[in-house]
Amino acid sequence: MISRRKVLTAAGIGIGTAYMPFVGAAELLPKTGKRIVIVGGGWGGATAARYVKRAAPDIDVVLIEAEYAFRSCPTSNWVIGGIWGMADITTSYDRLTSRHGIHVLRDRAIGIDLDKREVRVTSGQVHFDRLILSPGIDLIYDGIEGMDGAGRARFPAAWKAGPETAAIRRALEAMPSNGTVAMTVPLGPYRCPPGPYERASLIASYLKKNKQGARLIVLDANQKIISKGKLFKAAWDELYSDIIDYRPEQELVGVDADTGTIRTAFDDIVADVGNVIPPQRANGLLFDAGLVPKGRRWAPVKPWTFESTIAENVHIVGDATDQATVGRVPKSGYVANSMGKVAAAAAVALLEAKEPPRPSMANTCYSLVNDTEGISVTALYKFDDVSQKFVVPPGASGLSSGRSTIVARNARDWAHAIWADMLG
Amino acid sequence: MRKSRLGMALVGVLLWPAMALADADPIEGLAWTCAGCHGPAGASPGQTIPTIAGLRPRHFSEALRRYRSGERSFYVMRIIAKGLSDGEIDALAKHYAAQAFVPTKTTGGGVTAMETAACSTCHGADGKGTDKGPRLAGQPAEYLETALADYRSGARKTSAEMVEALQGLSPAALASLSRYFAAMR
Repeated sequence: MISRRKVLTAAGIGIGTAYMPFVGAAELLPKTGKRIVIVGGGWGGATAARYVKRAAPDIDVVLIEAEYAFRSCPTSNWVIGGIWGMADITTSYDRLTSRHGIHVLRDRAIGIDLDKREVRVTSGQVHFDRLILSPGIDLIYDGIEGMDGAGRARFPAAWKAGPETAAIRRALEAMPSNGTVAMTVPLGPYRCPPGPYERASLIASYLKKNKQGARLIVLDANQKIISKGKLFKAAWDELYSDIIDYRPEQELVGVDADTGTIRTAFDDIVADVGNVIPPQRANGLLFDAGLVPKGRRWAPVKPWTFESTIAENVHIVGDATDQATVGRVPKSGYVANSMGKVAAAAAVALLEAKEPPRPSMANTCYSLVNDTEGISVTALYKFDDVSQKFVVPPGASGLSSGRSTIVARNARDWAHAIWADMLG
Repeated sequence: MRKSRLGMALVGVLLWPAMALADADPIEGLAWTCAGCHGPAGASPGQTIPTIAGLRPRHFSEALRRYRSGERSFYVMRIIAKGLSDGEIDALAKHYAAQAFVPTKTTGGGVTAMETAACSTCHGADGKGTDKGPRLAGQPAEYLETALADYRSGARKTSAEMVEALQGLSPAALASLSRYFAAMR
């Protein structure tokens, strides 16, 4: 939080005297009609942008995203495992503009004025009639000793696809053949519950083929594998029993970048390659705007519309939302995609003074366990009028029956289908 | 609070008559959840997930009911279908039937000299389906091949005609047939 405020201050100084944020100015995109502004071009935000346009082509849609292109978190473990390259998980935002008429503003959202209905970016501000926030997560390094610049470089999280993803891949390729890889898993809830275990599987798969004698130590803060546990465990027992050393209930205490050591409450582990996935919370933008209550890590929403429970005209979707208010849905890409659609339909309806439609959501989440085999979890979510949250209808949730090549092939096709759904 | 906001929005709409939303299809929100796998136009860009847009409602509904009852066992759809009512299944079928079928891209060569007269009895001479058999033309090759292999192995029993028709065909023949229909337009 403090660092974010520093950034804010710095940005204000950088802008200088040409205009003061929120005072007198610089509307970057003068409005001509009704406008929905979306912050964050990830799974929730890009989807919301497309589906607002799909439901109401006349609404002006502005998507604010700082990155030059979309890099997918789901399937980024495949890059770490050497199955795909970074180019395979990278998609341009250009089609959102050329095919769908969405204004993609390549800038960073640094503040929200809820009263004036303006989003501040580094180059000015953008007015909205309704706002859909899909800003994702922040990593929490407070409380982990040694996680300064050097610590983070030595033990990257790679929990947002990008340079750190490629860095872990390179480190794996460069490590000695009988070396040690160590990774840490935070207590849930965090982004992508099966993600750490898929990553462990694909690192082990790579080690098995290319680094004989190497091992992978998984230091999990949880009591057990928290997603697809039965399927991961079966795959690890059958494929990687001599490679993966899985240790549950390991509280991460700190790291030492110089010696390559990860310290838990029980052990010191020296690793040739280390991956620390820290605890997470909603993006700081939401804290700064007062959209996360004191003492909470995630933003509460009304699940029928994904409007904030705190502010009017504002919807929040994706990993930043509080499951205590949404219902028991995972922080997955597919769910964020579903939330984006629900919020888009609701925002359009509310802008037109209509009743928002009854929402539905789904989740299918694939994990590879080696180059050719995958496992999956699937669920349908409907709105329950009694609890006022999303629930799974009886029987409509479950796992693939085991690992198989068809699941892996479906996973590849799913990725392309859902990226087309989000990005055109 | 809510009333005043709606009031404000209503004023906005009155001042801005250009807004025109097509009559909301009540099933649309549910249909949108399919797009994550089946693509935004009901057509997946890959080779294993079938196109669902433009299917005859009868075949669409029948497939979902069979997934729900367990007659068909595909690991994703048998779970999703459990959460759908008869009314929702039929509404989804109608929704997707109203959209254009999009042929999937086919990789690899099609078969040129394949005897497909037996197939055309139910699936039509053009492969676009009849009331008796669903569309094959333009569906992804790997999806078709999996379906044929499941009939051939007995894993899928939903059509006695299919089990019979595939008797004696080799895996290579099933692959050829799949590519043939995938490439058909």
